[in-house]
Amino acid sequence: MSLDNFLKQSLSRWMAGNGPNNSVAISSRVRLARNLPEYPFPGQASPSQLEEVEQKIRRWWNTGGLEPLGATDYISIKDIPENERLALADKHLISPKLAGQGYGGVLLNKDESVSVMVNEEDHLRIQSLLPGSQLKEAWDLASQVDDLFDAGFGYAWSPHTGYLTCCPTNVGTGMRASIMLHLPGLAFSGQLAMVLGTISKVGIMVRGMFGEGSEAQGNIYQISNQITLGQREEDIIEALNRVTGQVIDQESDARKRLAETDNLALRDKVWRAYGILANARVIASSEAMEYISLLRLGLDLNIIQGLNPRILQELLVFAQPGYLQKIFNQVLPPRERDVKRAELIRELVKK
Amino acid sequence: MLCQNCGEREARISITQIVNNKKTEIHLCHQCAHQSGQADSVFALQKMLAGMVDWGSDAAGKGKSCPGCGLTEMELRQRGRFGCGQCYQTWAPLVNTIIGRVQGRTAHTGKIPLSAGERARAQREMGELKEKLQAAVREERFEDAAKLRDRIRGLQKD
Repeated sequence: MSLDNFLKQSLSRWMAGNGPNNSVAISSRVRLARNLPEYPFPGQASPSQLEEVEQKIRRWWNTGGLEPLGATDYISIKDIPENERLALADKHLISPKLAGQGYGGVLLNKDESVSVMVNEEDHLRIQSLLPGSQLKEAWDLASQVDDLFDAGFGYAWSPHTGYLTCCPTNVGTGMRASIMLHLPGLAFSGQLAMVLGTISKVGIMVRGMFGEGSEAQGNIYQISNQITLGQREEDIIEALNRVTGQVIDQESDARKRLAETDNLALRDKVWRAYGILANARVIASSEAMEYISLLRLGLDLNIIQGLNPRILQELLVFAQPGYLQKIFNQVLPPRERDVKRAELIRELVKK
Repeated sequence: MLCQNCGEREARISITQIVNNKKTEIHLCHQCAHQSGQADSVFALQKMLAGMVDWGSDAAGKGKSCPGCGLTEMELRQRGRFGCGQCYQTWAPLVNTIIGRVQGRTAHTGKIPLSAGERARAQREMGELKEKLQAAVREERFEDAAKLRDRIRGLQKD
């Protein structure tokens, strides 16, 4: 199979590049933390209790518990090699924590818009992941999956505190809703710090692509709710939508202004980025992200044509260490990864 | 400076957190920062919890463990994580302090699972109606208040 075909078949729905506001909003995600009532949370459970929980969920799944979602797969973490685990994490379908632990599993639907981690920090982490700005839709989908598990097992829940979770930062709704935004226009025009600074004050969290504490690579930011208790899920989503709507508008304005000013410096940057991506023989992840971000902006502003705008989503995933090793089907030491990454990128930016 | 998590690699990323005007800084290497990212930052949270709850003063809970999962107060303190659903009752006063500080509120107003049953839904409705009744009385909307009172009575009969 050609590389192109292989990669096409590897696209999750969120990577397809056909969601609302997709030129700024990359993906929308809702995650619900849930626990079964009669077992200790995974961190405090014995190996036999962990096994029991996983078996219980698998049996229920086997007898059609998730049938309303269509075909689904169950992947047990211990059954797949490390490359495959990392590749799932690169696609944001499982957490690095689950990829790194020797137990647990994940349920996936066909287009990978639903993934349910079993025995991560909580017994269940139900996640929905959609392209573009679709937080409300993602909540509806996650909530629907939530109801299926609820009917099957019941939950650790109290009328006062809500869904009981391992970590106090998740208790209540158990919900973390987040939207991933590509903000090169604001970055390039120097407004980014101001715009992001104003929104991180109101119970809303802004983080780099890899989450808390990470630098923002490729001008990609995650915006999510910080508080999970004391607000209705719909209200949390609504507040996030209001804020991200403003950021999206400001980013679009910034891009429009950049386009109108016929900014020579920007055109130069975009074409240099293309030059490097199309020719580099060795490239580190952070450097690649910086140029891909510029290239994507260049496509949006019509500075450069003929490339698939999906390139940003593709390289966000495929240029990560786990996925690279999966594509080239070998364990790659860091230096070798940078070589293979350059090879993959040259292939993808070929016009 | 070395990473404060692994103590092996050079720290490259600093996380600054300000809670109740108290500033904490943590320095991490790329790898640890990356790992602690994605999910919640395990580690930043522990520091934060340890810093903001006055654990030492409550001697009564010493030596106790949760009957549901065996978690001790010391473990709860070190990890900043609960061991099971029952922990929420076992460590009730402490749990409320922790949740209040982390979340700013203590009462859930969101989704009620179907498995929680009709009673939980009725309880929630009752709570909401009572709040509305108080507001109506306060704002001297007596017609609304009468209607709300009748609905509350209706629920109490069921």
